[in-house]
Amino acid sequence: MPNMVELRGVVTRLRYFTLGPISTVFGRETYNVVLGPTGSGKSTLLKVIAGIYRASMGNILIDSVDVTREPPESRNVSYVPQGYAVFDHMTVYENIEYGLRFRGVPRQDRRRLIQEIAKDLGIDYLLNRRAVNLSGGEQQRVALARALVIRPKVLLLDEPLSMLDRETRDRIMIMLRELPGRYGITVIHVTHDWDEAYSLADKVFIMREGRIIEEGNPEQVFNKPSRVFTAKFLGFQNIIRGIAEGSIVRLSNEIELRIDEYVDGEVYVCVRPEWIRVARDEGVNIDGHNVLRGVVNEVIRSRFGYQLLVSIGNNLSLTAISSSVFKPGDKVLLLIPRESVHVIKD
Amino acid sequence: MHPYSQAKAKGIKGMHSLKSNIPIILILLISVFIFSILIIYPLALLIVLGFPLIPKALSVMSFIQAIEVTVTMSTLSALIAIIMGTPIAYVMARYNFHLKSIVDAVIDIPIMIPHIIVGIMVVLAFASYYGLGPILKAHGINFINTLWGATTAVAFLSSTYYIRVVESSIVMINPEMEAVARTLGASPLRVFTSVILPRIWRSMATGAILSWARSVSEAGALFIVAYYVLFGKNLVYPASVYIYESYVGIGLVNAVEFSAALVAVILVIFVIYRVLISIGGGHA
Repeated sequence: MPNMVELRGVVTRLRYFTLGPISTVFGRETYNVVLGPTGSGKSTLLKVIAGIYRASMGNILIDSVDVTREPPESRNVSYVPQGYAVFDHMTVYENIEYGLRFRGVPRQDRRRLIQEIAKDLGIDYLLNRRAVNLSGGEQQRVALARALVIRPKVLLLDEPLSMLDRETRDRIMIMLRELPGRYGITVIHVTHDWDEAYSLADKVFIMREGRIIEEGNPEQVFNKPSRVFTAKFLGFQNIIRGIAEGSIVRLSNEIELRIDEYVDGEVYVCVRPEWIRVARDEGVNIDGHNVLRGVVNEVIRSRFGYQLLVSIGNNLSLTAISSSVFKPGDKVLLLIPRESVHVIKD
Repeated sequence: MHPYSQAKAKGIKGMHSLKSNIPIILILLISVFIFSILIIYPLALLIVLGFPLIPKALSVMSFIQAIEVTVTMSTLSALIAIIMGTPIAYVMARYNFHLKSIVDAVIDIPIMIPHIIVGIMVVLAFASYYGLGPILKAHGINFINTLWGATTAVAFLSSTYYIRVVESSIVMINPEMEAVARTLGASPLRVFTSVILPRIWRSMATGAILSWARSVSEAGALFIVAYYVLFGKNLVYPASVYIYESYVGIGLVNAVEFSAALVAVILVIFVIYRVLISIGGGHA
């Protein structure tokens, strides 16, 4: 897979923030999701790629051309900011037409291209309206049409789904997933929502404090993150320190877990709550490994089931998701499949 | 009863209890009273007494010339405000830089300096033996008692209003729109004409008319720089000086006559401006 966007040691210094150094690549016609908490520099990264912020050091290559010193208008990159920035002093038609006017596309061709893309994104009924009072989903699609109609090489999306209601979001998500194949573009999508990243990405990038600390395919990053920060951020709610000896990790004097890996020394044990099975403790003797006894402390309803906070003694507690309801004080058994225990070496 | 509706019922009851509202009613009454005495009453009196005299005032040739001078000078100064103020307003709205607070303060200085002193400053800067004075004189450019001098003085005093109005309207524009326009292929200048200008031209017009009105009303600085203006072949008083002269030289009734006429002219121009703005498109 050839590279489309390549960053080589890029550093950007802003007044209160420094991005980078970042060195990474975004593959041609792929869907890339950059994940990170607020303030990690995701939006700044997009603006540096777009050329809205200048790189203080390093080089940015788009399609093998060094664009580090190029202004945004000559980078062949489209940018859809958070909030979409639809030009509300124009009609929807004029919005989409905007970029074509700078490319010397004749009026007739412009009309055809605009109608095509509007139809494609399901906004042809809006074309003659002034771009005010559009719904979130409509603004989103107008902004996308405006960005796509100029056939950019790279499409930058800043939190494209955060302002949409759930139903619109699910619909737009399907549309976004198809963008690289359909328009032959490389998408770089920035978000703090890991559900979104997991559904969309060919490749995910984790950002923290201005740097990319981890990158890879979603399965790998989501199931086997290599850093505690990533694990925490990606929903491993159970992260406990322990001592590993081969395929056994001791969390305390009495509690130990079997794992699939083979490590030694101080480690962090990471388990997703949805991977833990919960059963009512009927007081029978338990044999077999990775079954822990505990008492339910708190119950929080969620759309996946009941999220339980279970204390398992020695000042340790685990979060687990159960489909059946428990109440605080209930005694439970937690079954943790050994393949679900991810270990990060300290 | 549900706690929310309980609170609501209590609130409504509170609204109707006159006793708790007495302080508010009192404050409002005092405010309205002062406003009436301070603003409405003098304005109304001038209009009532002066209105019948306007045709007579406007038939005085020297007064028409005075208005001409004032309007010309104020219009030129508004143009200067637009040319000088628009880029400054943009920079102040969009960028953070070292010493920005100092630039901010400098922009406000003209409205804080006593106007007589502004007049002195203009003479010192452009018509004395210091600074640019000798150079201008060598080229035969005279600032004393000319339209240039008068315009310079009122432009100094009035452009702040323009900058502030335009700046506050640029601040309202989402900077991401400019970023998007750039990535779509627009140069910085095209971004300004296609994204910024359509959104601020109303504020530019408002700012210009504000600074225009401020220039029309100027007297203090003109006493120093251009008590009268060489206009064509005549020596003409700017309108404010003209009214001052008529008050000092002839008397109150005479001054009221010209004052009412000048106010009427300003109001007519304001109305024309409003109409033009609304023709220009939608809401101002």
